[in-house]
Order: sequence, then structure tokens, then C-alpha cells
Amino acid sequence: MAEVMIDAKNIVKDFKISKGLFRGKETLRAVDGVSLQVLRGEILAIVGESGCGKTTLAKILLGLLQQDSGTVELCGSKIEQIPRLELAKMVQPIFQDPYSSLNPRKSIGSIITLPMRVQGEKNSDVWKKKALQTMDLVGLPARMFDQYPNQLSGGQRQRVAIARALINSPKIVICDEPTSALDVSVQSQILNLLNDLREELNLTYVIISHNLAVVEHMATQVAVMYFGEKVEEAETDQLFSNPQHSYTKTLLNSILSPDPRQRNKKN
Amino acid sequence: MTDLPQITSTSPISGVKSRVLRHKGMMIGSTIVVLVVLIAILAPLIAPHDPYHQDLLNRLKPPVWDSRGTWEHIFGTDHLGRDYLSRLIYGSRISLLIGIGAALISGIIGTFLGVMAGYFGGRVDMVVTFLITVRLSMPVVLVALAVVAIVGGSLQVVIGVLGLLLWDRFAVVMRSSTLQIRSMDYVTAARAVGCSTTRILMTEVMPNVVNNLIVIATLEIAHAIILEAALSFLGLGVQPPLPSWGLMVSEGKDMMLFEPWLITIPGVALFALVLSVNLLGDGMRDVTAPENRN
Ligand SMILES: Nc1ncnc2c1ncn2[C@@H]1O[C@H](COP(=O)(O)OP(=O)(O)OP(=O)(O)O)[C@@H](O)[C@H]1O
Ligand SMILES: [Mg+2]
Repeated sequence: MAEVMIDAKNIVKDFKISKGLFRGKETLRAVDGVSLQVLRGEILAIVGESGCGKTTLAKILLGLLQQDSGTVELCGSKIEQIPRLELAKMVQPIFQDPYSSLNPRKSIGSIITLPMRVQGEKNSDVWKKKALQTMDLVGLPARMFDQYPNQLSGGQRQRVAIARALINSPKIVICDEPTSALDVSVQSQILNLLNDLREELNLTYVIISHNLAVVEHMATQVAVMYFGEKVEEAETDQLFSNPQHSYTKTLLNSILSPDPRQRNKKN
Repeated sequence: MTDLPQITSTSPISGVKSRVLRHKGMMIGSTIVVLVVLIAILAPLIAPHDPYHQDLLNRLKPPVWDSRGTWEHIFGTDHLGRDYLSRLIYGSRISLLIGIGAALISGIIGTFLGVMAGYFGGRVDMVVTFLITVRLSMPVVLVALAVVAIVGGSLQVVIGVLGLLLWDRFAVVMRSSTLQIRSMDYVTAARAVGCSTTRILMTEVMPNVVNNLIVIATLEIAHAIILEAALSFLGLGVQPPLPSWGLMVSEGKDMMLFEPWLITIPGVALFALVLSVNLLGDGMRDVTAPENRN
């Protein structure tokens, strides 16, 4: 039996939304009792409509948000008990929008080496060497080390974000819609890169996506979320061939099939 | 195909230079500001006379363009026979000192409060917003007058009081720009990478809000210079015999009718300095507009 990388049980997260100065607060339940288990080497996709709590769940798994109840264990230890720097070496995010995930005032080199510097690596030769290796790994030319984010294309920026996430060899990578801000032509490049890296570095992925084609192509497991709850989880083939929950069926039906007869059959 | 290299400029800083050169207001403003700063620094070298030396036999000499004027006293002399040009030159030191000193103090206070409020939100934000509201509901001139009247006017007191009063704009602008930067993914990424809050504030947030800071600082420098002049004019700013421009206007006001240059010369100097500091500030805002060049 493979090692359990992520073990989340009954996660609940509420947001208090202030309705104005004297009108008190309203609670919004963004994640409602979600449990997940991800084994080493698996790719879990989380799908669901906008606002159903996917990003909130991802932030909890990254230790960036504290859940209100439930437990998260990463590699067997409770997430609250993992020291900040250890946690950073265990799990890393890749975000949707590569235009907002890179600090415009920092050079690419400084962005990619930040994780190493934070971990206390003082020797600049060491981190420069490692950064160039990682840039090579994600397909960035070495000359970009001294360039700035505004000189890079969206795809290149996303590669920088991937390099930053991978430089300290994390075990888990959580990608929140990693390709939805990119050009269609670049999307598959990035997805293939993520796939290659997973094999090369033995990574475990959680991929959040709206794009069911991406999910079908990448994921080994799919979890479907609806209004904060996980309504269904199954292996990818199974979910696509035999969806159980009505929301999953609607979701699958909403993909436009290239063949109109095919689409009619589904309905 | 999209992975084609795009080599434009080497950093976000370059490109600013050409825009500066094309910005007329900024060029005029910065020229005058640089000139005044040079005059202030080099005052002992360029002032023709001792600004404190009284010569009661030569009182109220008119400036050189008047038929009775002499080249000995280009801008004439004041009611105590002190050389007006020399006082004007030394006065630039007072104006700049007060402007920069007050802007520095208020900049530190306002930036600290604004960044804390914007980054941490919640209760911290509530407290800071309350402080800003309190501050905005106090009329600066009246409060400054009252404090100076109680404590006594001196250069340090004026700088201190203005510094403690002019931080509101810093706080408001820093708060809103920090709020905006806080939600950027690179701040979240820095947290995920394990950066401490201090490090995030210093290396991710501050560099992205600091250009606003420079703009407000210049505007507040101008503000403080005007306020000092007003306080000194009312007799509650820096004390004689220091050659402050506001004080010079104040001392000249009794002789306004017959010796109008006593007011117009320091008045024009004040106007030119404040205008050019403002032009410089506006220009900097235009030139370094934050994220319009991604
Ligand atoms: N910091 C917050 N404060 C208050 N409410 C929040 C906060 N973050 C998220 N929410 C709310 O929680 C709900 C879930 O948000 P979340 O960002 O997790 O959705 P999502 O599934 O990622 O959506 P999308 O697909 O659009 O990214 C939304 O209704 C959102 O408005
Ligand atoms: Mg989201």
C-alpha cells in the first residue's frame, strides 16, 4: 500500500462576512466537511463550479488558512504541528494567474532562489547553481535569470512559478487552475511539463481545474465539489464513464462534444 | 510559439528615464528643487553677507532694480538692516529642513500604520482607520498653533508637531495600496515558501508600494513648508532671528505699503519652491505609475 501523502478529515471552513458597521456578521460556509486522501504519486483533481470552495480547500492543505474543524495530515503529521519551514519543503502551490504570482520588482533569479534563501542557504553559488538546474528542468533558458517578470510571456512566467515551487523538491504540489489563465497552445505545454516533472521528481499533485479535458488527461482520481461539499470521488475513468451524483452528470454533460449526435445521446 | 524571448528593457526602472525627460512639469519642478537644495547646502559660500548681521544705518534699503538700490544689497535690507538676499538664502535651509523633517516623521508614522492596517486587516485595520478619522477631524493649523503656543515655538517643535500631524495621507494611501498587494499571489507564494511576516512586508509588499510613498512625501514636504510659513507668519513658528521665509513675510507685513519687496521676495520664493515640489511629486506619480507596464 502506497504512502498516504494527504489525509484530510471533515474539513470545515467558515468565513465571517461583515454586512456593514452595525448589521453584524454573516457566516458563509466555504468548505463543508470535506475528507480527502491522496496517496504518493497520485494526481487528485478537484472540480466544481466557481465559488464552491476549491481554492479555500487548497489553502487549507497548504497551511495558509486554518480550518475551523477537521484535521489535515501531511505525510503522517498534523499540519498545525509542522514547523513553517518544514511545511514549505513538503507542499508548494502553483497558482492560476502567472501575472500575479511573480513579484514585478524582483528578477527571475531572485524569485526562483527565494525558497532556498528562506531555508537558510547562504552560499550564493549554491543557490544560483540550483536555480539554473531547476530553470533547465522547467524549460527556461539560463539568460532569464537576470530578467524581470514583465519581460516574460505568460507561459514562461508559469514556468518560473513552477521552478519556484519545485526548487526545494517538495513532495506535494497543489496547482490551483494552473493553466486556465494561459493560451490554449501553451496550456498543453505546461500540463505536459507538470506530468514529466511528476515522474521525474516523484511528486504528488492536487490539481484544481474547471477544464474537464485537463482533468481527464491528467488525473488519476477526481473529486467533485458542490457548494462546499465533496459530492463524489472516483477514479478518473470510472467518474467519466459512470458518474453517480446528479451534479457530476450535469457537469459532464456540459462539455461540448465535437459530434452533435454524441451530444444528443448524452442528454 | 509564445515562448519567444522578448528582450525589451533590463529592469522596471529603465524606461522611466525617458518618460522623465518628456515630462515638462517634472523637469521644471526638479530643476528648481535641485537649485534650492544646492543653495541651501552651499548657503555659507554663496550668501554675500552674514544673515544675522544688523546694520541699523542701512535699514530698508530697496533692491537693486529700484532706482535707489545698490549692488551691495541685491535684494535690499530689512527693518534691521540685514541683507535680504543672505536671509533668503539661509531661509531656504529652514524651509527644506522643516519640509523634509516633517515629511520624514509623518512618512514613518503613516507608512507603519497604513501597511499594518492593509496587511493585517481586521482589528488592526479598525484601530488605524479610527486613528485616521480622528486625525482628519483635527484642523491642522489650529492644532499646530495651539501646541506651539503651549510648548513654545522653535525649529524642533515645528518639525515635530507637523510630523505628528501630516501622516494621514501616508496612512490612507499605504493602507489601500498594501491591501491591493496583499491579495497578490506572490505574497501568498512567499507565505507558502515559508517567509516570515517581516520578510514579506519588507521584500514583497514594501517595494511595490514605495513609489506611492515618494509621491506623497513630496506633496507633504510642500504642505509642511506652507504650514511652517503660516505658523511663522502668525508668530508661532520658528522664532526670530532665524531667517525663515514665513517669518520674513511676517516681519515685512507692517511695511507692506512702502516697501512691498519685503513681502514679495520671500513670497515668490515660497511660491516657487512649493509649486516646484508639487510639480515634482505629480511628475513622479505620472512617471512611475505602478503596474501599467506588465
Ligand atoms: N477571505 C475570504 N473572506 C470571505 N469569503 C471568502 C474568502 N475567500 C473565499 N470566500 C468565499 O468562499 C467561497 C469559496 O471560495 P473559493 O475561492 O474557495 O472558491 P473556488 O471554488 O476556488 O472558486 P473559483 O473556481 O472561482 O476559483 C466563495 O463564496 C467566496 O466568496
Ligand atoms: Mg479558486
